[in-house]
Amino acid sequence: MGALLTVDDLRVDIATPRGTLRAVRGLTFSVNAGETLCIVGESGCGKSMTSLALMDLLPRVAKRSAATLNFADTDLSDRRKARRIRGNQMAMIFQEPMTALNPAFPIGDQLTEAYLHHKGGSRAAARARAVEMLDLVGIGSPAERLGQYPHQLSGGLRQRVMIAMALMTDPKLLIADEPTTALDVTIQAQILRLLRDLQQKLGIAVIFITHDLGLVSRIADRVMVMYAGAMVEEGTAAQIFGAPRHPYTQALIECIPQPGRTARGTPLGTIPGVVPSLVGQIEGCVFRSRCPLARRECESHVPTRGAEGHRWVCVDDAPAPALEGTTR
Amino acid sequence: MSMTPILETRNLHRRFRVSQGHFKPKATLQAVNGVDLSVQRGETLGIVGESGCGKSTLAQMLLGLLPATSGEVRLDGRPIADLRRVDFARRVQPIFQDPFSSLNPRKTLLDIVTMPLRVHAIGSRAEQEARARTLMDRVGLPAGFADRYPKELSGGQRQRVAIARALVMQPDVVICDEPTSALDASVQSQILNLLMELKADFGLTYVFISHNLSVVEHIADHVAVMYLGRVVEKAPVDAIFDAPQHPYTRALLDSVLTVAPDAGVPELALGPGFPNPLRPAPGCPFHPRCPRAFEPCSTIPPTPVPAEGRGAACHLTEMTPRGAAA
Repeated sequence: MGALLTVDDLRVDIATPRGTLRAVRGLTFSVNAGETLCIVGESGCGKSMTSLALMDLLPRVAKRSAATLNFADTDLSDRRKARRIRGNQMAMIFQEPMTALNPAFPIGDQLTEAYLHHKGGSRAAARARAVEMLDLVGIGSPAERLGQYPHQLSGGLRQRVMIAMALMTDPKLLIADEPTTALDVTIQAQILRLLRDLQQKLGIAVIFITHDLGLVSRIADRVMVMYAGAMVEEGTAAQIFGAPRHPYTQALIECIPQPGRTARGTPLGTIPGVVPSLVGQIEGCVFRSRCPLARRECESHVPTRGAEGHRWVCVDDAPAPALEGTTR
Repeated sequence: MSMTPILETRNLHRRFRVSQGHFKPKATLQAVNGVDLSVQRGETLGIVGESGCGKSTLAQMLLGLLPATSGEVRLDGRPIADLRRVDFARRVQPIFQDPFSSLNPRKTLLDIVTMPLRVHAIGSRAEQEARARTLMDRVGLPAGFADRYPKELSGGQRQRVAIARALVMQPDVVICDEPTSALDASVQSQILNLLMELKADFGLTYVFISHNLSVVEHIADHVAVMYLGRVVEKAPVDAIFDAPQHPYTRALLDSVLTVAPDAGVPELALGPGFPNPLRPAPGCPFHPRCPRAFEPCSTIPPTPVPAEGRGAACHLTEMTPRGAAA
C-alpha cells in the first residue's frame, strides 16, 4: 500500500524578536490510505502547527520548509498545485466550530462554497450534495438546515456541520485538529463513532490531532508522540500504550488517572520541569532537561531507534520498563 | 450521620430570565432546580455533569456569589444568608478554571496572594507578606516569584498562585470549579497531587466540580451527578464508578475514553434528543434520551435524592430500596 501523504523533514520557523522560534523541527512521517494517524502531545509541542503546515494555512510570520511534502504524487510545496488539493482532496476539521463557521452566513452557503470552487457545477447540484452530506453525518431534516445560521445549532450539531463541510468534496485525507475537545463526553463519543463509520464507508485517511491520550488509544491505527516540535516516538496504538519506549511517552501515560490501574487518591505521575525554549536549536535530546534517565550522551546527537513500525528517539535501547504486561 | 455537614444545600433553586430575541417573551431557565447536597468536614465532594447541567451556577451559589431564587446554602448548619459576607468568605474560598483570567495582570504575585488578607485586615503588612510567602513556597512557586506578574507564568504556575490565594485565608472549604481543565496532562497531575497533599496538610474540605470523570474518580470521596439542574445520582465514589444506578450516570461513565487500545469508541445507548434547558421534558428530564425509559418516566418526576442520602433519582431504582445495591 503506497503512502497517501509523505512528509520528510518538515520544519516550521517563526521569526520572533528573540530569534527564530522553531515550532516544528524536522518531522518525518507518512499516512497510508484509509488509516488513522494520531498526533499527540501537550501545548506547544507543534502538533497544530504541523496540521496548519500541511494545509498551508500557517500565519504569515511562519515559514514552512520540507525535503518532501507529497500528497498522492502531487508536490504540495508547489503552491499552485497545492491549492487544487487543499479543501478538495485534503480537508480540515477545526477545533472550535463556533469560530470556524461564519456567523453571518447560513450554513448552506458555507457548505457549498468549497464544493463550487473545486468541482464547479450549479448551485442546485451543490445544495443537493450538501443535503446528502448533512444526512450522512446524522443531521435530521437536512434541507431545512441549509437556511439556518451557526448560532441556531448546538455544539454537537455544529461539529457535524464542520464534518459534512469537509466531506463535501469527497476528500482522501481529513485533518482533524482537536475536533471533539470543545464537546461534552457523550457528544464526543457520538462524533468519534460517526467519524469512524464514515472513514470505513468512504475509505478516508485521517490525521487526528489531540492532547487526549485516552481518545488516541481508542481510535488510532498509528500514533506519533510529539515534544518540543519533534517526534519522540511513533508506533501502533498497541505499541505506544502497551510498551512505550520513550521516557516522555511513558511519563505522560503515568500522568493521567487510569481507572482500574491508578489507585484512587494516590499521587499521580508527574513530569518535573518545563518545556525548553523553542527559540534556536536544541542540541541532543529535546526531552533531556526533564528526563529522569538523562545522562551525558543525551547532549549530543540522539539516534532514532527501532524498526519501521515502532520508532523512538532516545539513546536508550533497553526494553520498556514497568508498563509491560498492560498490553491487552 | 448526626454530624452537622460543614456545607449543605437545601432544596436550592436558581432561575434566570433569558432573552429569546427581540419581541419574544423572556424564557425561564432553571439552572439549579432543587439541589440537596451535603459535604462532611474533610471530604471531597465531586460534582460531574455535562455543559449546561448547572454545575458552575451551583459553584457560584456555594461561594455566595449568586443568591438563591429559593432554598438555601448552609455553612455549619447556618444559612449563609444570615452570615456576614466577610465571615463567610473567610471560610469558603474558590479556585477557578481559567488561571489566565482569574489573576489580575497588573498586580505582582505577592499582591495577589496577600489581597484577601488586606481585604479582611488580617495581620500587619509584614505578617501578611510572611504568610503569603510561606504559602507560595508550599504550593511550589520558586522563592524569586513574589515580584513577578501573572503574564510571566505558565498555566500550571498560575493555578498554583490561585491555590495559594485561596489558602492564605486558612479557609475550611475550597470550591474548585474545573481547576485543571485548562491544563496539560503533565501539569494537571502536578496540580491534582498538590490539591490532595494540601487537603491532608490543612484538613480542607473540597467541592470539586469537573466534567472529567477520571479526575473526579481519582480525587473525590463522594460524587454527585447533575443533569439539567438536578442531582440525578449521589453516592460514595466506589459505588458511583463501580455500580452506577442511574442510566445517565452509566452513559456518562461509558463515554469516558480511558486508555484502552482495542476497546474502540463506546456505543452509547443514548437517544440523540439534545435537551433544551429552556423546555425540559416533563416527568424525568432525562427520559427522552434514556434507553430504559418506561411508562411513568414521561409524566411523574422521580423523587430527588435527599441531602444526606445516596442513590439515584430514577423510577427504576425506586422499585428497590435505596442503598440496597452496592
